[in-house]
Amino acid sequence: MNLVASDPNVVDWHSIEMVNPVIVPQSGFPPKDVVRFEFVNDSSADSDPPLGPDARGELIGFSGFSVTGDLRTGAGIGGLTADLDPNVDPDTGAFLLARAHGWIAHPGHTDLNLQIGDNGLNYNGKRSSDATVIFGDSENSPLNGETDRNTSGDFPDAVVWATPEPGSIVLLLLGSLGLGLVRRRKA
Amino acid sequence: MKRFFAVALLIAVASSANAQTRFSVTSSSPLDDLGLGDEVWLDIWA
Repeated sequence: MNLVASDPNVVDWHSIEMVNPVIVPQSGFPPKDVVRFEFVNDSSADSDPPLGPDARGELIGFSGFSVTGDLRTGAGIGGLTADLDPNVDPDTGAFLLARAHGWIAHPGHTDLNLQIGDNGLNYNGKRSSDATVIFGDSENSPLNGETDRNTSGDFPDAVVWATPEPGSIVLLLLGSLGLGLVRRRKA
Repeated sequence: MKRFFAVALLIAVASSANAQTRFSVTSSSPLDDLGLGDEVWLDIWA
């Protein structure tokens, strides 16, 4: 998945981490924790290499996935694991997938959008083209896991507004006042 | 190695051939009145 911004200068992203809890501890033989995702591609030490912001300052390609097989250790997300997964909102039933962390670096506003990344979106045993998502606003059109990769929804998933420091506002006001006085003298 | 598998976000249960997932983004603090240097935390849900 991707997290892109209309103005990537506003937020200086530090990290994106997939939430990957233990679903069934010490299962099978030999005993092994069953986690949500067998592999993650994020900013954590579990990712090789760790993912950081790209050259544009956006978070591109974070993911969690498992490889289906006899020794599968990733349970994924869905109805079967909802009661076992500690990171499910009991009110909405939604799974907490990832957490992004950053700092405000520039004043202004930026629209943030999720996207299906280059690797698509797969359900167990299904093709990426069988999967659709709706991001953020419920008015968004569904996006297909195969044909709508790297595509934002019609509406942003989040909007960040960052105001200048108070000192900057005072300087701006003083500058405007000075400009007004100069114009008045010329008139 | 990971990219070799080229499978992202395996979701264990699909009840139909065309499964649809709704995503949302939340934040523990308001995003509409931040100042320079303020922290931003976003939670991504599915």
